[in-house]
Amino acid sequence: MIRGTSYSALLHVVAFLVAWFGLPELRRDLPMLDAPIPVEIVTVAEMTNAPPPTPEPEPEPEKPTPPPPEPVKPPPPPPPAPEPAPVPEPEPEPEPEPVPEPKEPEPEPPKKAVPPPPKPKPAPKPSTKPKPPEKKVKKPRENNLMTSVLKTVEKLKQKTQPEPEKKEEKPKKYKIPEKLRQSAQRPFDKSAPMTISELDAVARQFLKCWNVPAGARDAKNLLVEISVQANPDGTIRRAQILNQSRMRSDPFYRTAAESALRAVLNPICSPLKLPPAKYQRWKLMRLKFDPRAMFGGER
Amino acid sequence: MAHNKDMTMKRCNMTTFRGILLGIRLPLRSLIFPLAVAALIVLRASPAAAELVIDITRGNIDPLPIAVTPFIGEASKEAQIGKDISAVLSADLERSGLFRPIPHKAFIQTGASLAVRPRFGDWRIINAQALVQGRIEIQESGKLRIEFRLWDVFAERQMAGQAYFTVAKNWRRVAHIIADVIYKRMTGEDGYFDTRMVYIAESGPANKRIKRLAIMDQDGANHRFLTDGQYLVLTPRFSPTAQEITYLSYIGNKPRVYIFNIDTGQQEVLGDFPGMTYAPRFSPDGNKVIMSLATDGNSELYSMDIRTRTAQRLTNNPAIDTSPSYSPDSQRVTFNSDRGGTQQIYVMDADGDDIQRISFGKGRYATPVWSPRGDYIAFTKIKGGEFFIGVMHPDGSGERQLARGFLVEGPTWAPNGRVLSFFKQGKRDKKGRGGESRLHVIDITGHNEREIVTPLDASDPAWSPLIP
Repeated sequence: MIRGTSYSALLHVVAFLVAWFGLPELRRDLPMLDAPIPVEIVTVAEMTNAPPPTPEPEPEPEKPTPPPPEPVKPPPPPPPAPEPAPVPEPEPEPEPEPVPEPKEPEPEPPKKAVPPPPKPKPAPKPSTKPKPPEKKVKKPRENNLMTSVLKTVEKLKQKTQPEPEKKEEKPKKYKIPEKLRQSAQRPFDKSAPMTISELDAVARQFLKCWNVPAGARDAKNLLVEISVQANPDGTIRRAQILNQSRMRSDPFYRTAAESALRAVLNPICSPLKLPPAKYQRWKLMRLKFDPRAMFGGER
Repeated sequence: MAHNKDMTMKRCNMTTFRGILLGIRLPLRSLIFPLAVAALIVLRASPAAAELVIDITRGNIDPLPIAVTPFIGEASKEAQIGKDISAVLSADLERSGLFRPIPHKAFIQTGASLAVRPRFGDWRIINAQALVQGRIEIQESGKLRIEFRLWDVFAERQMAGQAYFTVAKNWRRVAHIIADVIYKRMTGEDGYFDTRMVYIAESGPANKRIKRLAIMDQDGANHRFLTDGQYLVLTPRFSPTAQEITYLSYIGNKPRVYIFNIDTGQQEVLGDFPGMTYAPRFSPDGNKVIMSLATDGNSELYSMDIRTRTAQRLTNNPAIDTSPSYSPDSQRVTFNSDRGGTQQIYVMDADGDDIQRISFGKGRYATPVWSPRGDYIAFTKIKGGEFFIGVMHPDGSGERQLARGFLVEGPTWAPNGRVLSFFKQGKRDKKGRGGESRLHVIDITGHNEREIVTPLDASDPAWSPLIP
């Protein structure tokens, strides 16, 4: 009996264990096939444009003074007291960059570094977020910063005094422009590589104006390169088809090349949506028109 | 970097060398940092100087906006011909699906000022990418002088320009010829507008159908019948080099292949075979006709030299071999056979060797036709009770369906190999309504399917070569 029950119990336990964990043989997993995953390394705007550590020190010195006042004088009321001193300061500083700000409130903080001095437009983006803290900070700071700020302000005044109208906005964003200017003056910003999203924006722009030679024989081999000189406003100064000899010998290539050239010269695609700040980067471009992707199914 | 240098130096066995290296070790080390900085600066600077490369891989396949202005003529008769030519030309380009003629109402610059030089700014505003402008003169002899220019509006350049002298009644052909020139200049591909089509015009009740051979311009104009309908006519095919047609006719209730000369109206039987000959087609040089010969329930392929009237047997197989079509270089032949159990497409050498099956999809394949530019074979496919017109490469790859329907059949290529015609029949309902049969054309991309308007039901189209 005992033997029988113990055998039975043992077998049950074994059966249970097998059921629970399974036999190693039975559960052997199929070997996973390693599928290669193509990875493309791209430059993303935020990363490349992020300002180097240097800018940080600037805010720090400022903050020590302002923090205490912040809670005390949060919103608008404080302005009256400092008025005499602040009046001159805010006007000049904000002028250069704040003007465009109202247009585009979206952007992300990382872009702060991106906008260089020449073009105030990009600058507005970063300004939106920091705005609230700045308001509080500005006024308290004034005393401390007065001297240093004034110097930069004077310089700025000389450079840009186009828009006196928006005095109210100026005080709010007054701090950011400075940062931007500084970061912009750094050489690294100018030469910052074009980001994939910036290039993509241009490529997408051509969706509207490039009439692809559909169905042409050998459409896959009709890669056309066009050398382009652009003006700072994104319009085309000069565009030239690069492979001139093939233009003469291959009528299919000629039509493909001419269609690409028409796309470049098409008023619908002018101006090109390129970041004005990086003009040095894109004043000379090579546009590669490649219809292959559009004829994936064909040989 | 410095570390690496050390490592290599440690590996060096020659002590003397080592001493030398050690001697320069310090200066090297101290130099490394500045060198690295210098290298970095150079690296940073160089990309700034380099050209920015932007890859543009997506465009649109919308038709190209083109402005076709009425050709200018001083006399009212000249102006009228100018208008007519412009309209025919414009319709040709529009039907190709590759161009979108801009409505005349949108034109800013009109009238005689165009003849001097287009104001490109005016045309850019209405987004005309190309501009066609021309002039008509009726000369003293009564002949027409027609000239035209094609302009690239954005580049402000003339792309093409020609003048033609012709008799007045030929204006329509000149319009097609100009359309061909423009098409070729803008696409790189030969045009196909100065062409004709033959087809089978059908009329009468289903049990007593009258089938006549008819011919018309590719746009449906100048339609006329070539036969009177006394005998059944099927599968006409155009000679690629001459104004000749080959087809199957049941004259005397004997189905035979005939050759018909359009200019003379002469018709003659091709060869004297014991059985039924059918599915004829010319070779690309026009010197041979390849066809099927059925004897004792077995069909084999034969080619026949038209001049010497000598026939050559190409296949020898108990299965049905039919619908042969030469490749443009005459070296290969594609045909239809059920030797593998079902109807499939095969290719072989022109002498019958090296037979390979190329169609492997589901369904049955029929009527293969080799494209005049050689890159595709068009076919009819029957699958799941539906018909398809499709194309595949001559090695069987890249099969695509272009059109489908209750009955679509009989593909024929335009001479440039970019456009196909076929006929399409709708389903007839129980009361016998519907079931009309019409000719259609479609671009090889599968876009832009159009109907060619015919006075009667139409089937079995055959596209002519460019008219010489």
